[in-house]
Amino acid sequence: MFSVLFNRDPLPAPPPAVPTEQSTDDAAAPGPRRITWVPPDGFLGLSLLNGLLRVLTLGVYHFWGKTEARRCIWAAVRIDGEPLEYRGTGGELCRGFIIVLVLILLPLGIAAFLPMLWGASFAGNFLFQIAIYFVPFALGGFGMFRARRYRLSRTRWRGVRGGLSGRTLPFAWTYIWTTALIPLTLGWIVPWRAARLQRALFNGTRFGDKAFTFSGQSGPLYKRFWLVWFSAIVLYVVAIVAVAAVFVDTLEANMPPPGGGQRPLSYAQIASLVAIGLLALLLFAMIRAWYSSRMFNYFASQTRYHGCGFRLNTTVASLVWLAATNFLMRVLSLGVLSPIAEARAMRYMVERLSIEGAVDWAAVGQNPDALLARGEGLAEAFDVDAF
Amino acid sequence: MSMPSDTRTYEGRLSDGRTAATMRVEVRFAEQGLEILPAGERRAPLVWPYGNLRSGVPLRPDASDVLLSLKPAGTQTLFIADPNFSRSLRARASELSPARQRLIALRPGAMFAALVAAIVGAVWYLDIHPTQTLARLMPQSARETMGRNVVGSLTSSMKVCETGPGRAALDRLTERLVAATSDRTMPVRVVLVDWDIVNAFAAPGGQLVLTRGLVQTAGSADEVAGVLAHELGHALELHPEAGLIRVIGLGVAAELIFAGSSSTTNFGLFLLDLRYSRSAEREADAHAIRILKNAGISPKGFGDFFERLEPKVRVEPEHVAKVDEKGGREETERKGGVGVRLLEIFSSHPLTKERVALVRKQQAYPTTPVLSDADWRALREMCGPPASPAQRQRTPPPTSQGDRRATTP
Repeated sequence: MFSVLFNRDPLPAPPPAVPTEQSTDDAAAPGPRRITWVPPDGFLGLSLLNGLLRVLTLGVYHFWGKTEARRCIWAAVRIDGEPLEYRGTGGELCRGFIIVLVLILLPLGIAAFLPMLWGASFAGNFLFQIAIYFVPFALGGFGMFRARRYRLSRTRWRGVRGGLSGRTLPFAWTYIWTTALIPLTLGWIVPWRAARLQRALFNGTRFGDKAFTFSGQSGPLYKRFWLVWFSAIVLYVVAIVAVAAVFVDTLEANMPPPGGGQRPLSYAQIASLVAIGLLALLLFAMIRAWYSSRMFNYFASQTRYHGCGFRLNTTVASLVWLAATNFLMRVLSLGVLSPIAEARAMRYMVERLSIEGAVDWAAVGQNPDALLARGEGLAEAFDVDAF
Repeated sequence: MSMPSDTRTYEGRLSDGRTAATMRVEVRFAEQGLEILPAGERRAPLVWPYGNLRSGVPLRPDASDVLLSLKPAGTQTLFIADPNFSRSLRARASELSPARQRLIALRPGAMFAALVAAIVGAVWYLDIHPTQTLARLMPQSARETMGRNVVGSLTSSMKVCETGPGRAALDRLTERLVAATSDRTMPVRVVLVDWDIVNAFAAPGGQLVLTRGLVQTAGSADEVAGVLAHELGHALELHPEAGLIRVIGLGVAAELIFAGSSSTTNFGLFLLDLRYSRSAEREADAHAIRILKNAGISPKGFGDFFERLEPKVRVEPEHVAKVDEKGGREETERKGGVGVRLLEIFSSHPLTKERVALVRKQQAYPTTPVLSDADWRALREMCGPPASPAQRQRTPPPTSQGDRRATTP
């Protein structure tokens, strides 16, 4: 579970009001916490400055700004009182992106215009666009694996490197076929897929010369998943009935004008439609968080590293809060505040994670893997580095 | 150089990078670097020169702790949790400060920005038109396909008027103009759409669009001929193709710079597009004058039409509002900005004067009416009967200056 720390997690959501030292999750863990969060200083200024410099350098500073933000976020994570260190560089990220740009994005962009130039039929054009649309999807697993490997290899604690062993292609292939099966199984493959991908990623995760092990199964996830699945359907039906009710109201209140035609929607009706939509979305987010929270906590409990185990205590309300506030923060600031959102997500995980059992650090040797030369181009390009 | 002397001994933790174990050490600031030695032991200390230090994060003045290692590839790390140590270290290794680190990190971006500025400057100074050059490299079939797509998306929600004697009249008019261009082989297709705004477009591949509003607002066939000649000028200069390429190129660049915050960039692109189009308008006008002359058509209608439009636009900018009311049309309008040269509606004022001056400057030449009265009537009624008299009254005839002053606030 160590490497949960190195991920930008899409779901987490910190409770705003839970002070660091009073969190309730370590009730069962006596003694000082092994993993703690020391808030980074000046992060707002850093975010604003990065946004400004990115525009002034026509986007190029993005990679260096991102690297500086990561260095600060990593350093805020303390294990046994000592900080993690991020040793990646902006140059590595930039080179990775350029390679993806030249090898994938530019050919894709040009290909997208080819049917227009050759004058393909409408259907042919449509099929071609669909095919192009699926390229990022097909490369998703590839990018996710490489991005994770890069970040782990650039992460150190007490000078010892992390790493991700195993080959990219088998993982990418598993990712593709399990994703393709999601619609075919009406979503029922989702928990099984999550456990399978987690196993592939965590059994390969290393710190130093010792590996993490993950023994989670999908069975416990299904206990919650079936309820999520059925509530989603119920929610959908209820929302449709509610929308219909709004329109039925219209019919009863004021019959169509004699000349035929439709009356425009009143403001009250529009407001009710928006309210129904938002309520349904919020309810679904809560139900999903109820499942995700269980999944995170269960996955952590099934992860071990060199004699120690992990306990994670995410809760539904806090997850929804973190996800919602982080989403709003990113959108309303046009992405400028995303370093803060990333720090909040990391803080959430760190403050709710506890390490159980002693580790014999002297027995953990340096990671022998050779360093990768390049950054996380694909993930950077397609935004898939979160899992 | 003089630096504040700090003779204290600090407590730190050193890891050797071979295992994840750690040992307690004592650290002192010495002349040649940091002296590190195991706590309580007497032996030769490790010395880390100040110039070779790397810190885990840029060293802020208020840092409560610092993680150090040696550049370039040191795996040993030293962690000292003491704000006093951080302050003293900053005085000796100022390159660890956030400002200095940021300066180093800024170098590639600054170089890139300078390079782009130089290229843009060169393109501007040497008067190169990279988009037009690219447009010329495109095969004609590709241009036509592109144009059909653009016209198709523009007219998808509107009726295209294709039938009857009006079509034949429009074809006769088009043929006469094309025969007078410098490139007689250019394939041209003119489409009349049932749209009540007053506008004309040139899409790639010689695809021209006229609106019913324009044909019914025009006072004579000569005026329509002037507008068509102007659009032909755009087509000859490959402005629509170049515009499409420019918008795509700028869009990709903006996407890279702002990483997806597209609403602001769209507005910026819109302004850029408009600014550029003014020189394009002048080029198209020059073509129009030449085409009209070669075809033996009076250029007066050309000037008349823009004069006729101007007060209408300034007094009642309602055709913009009309577009908004119809919901989906707004999107079509916006799409129209891509690869389609809008007639100078938004910035007509300075150009109208210029156009009228241009027309007046022409020496008289023998002219014939561009269409017979019957043809002109057929063209105006191609999309159904012309607008009601009430609507007609809103467009004052371009007769006298007095008239115009009366309608201009």
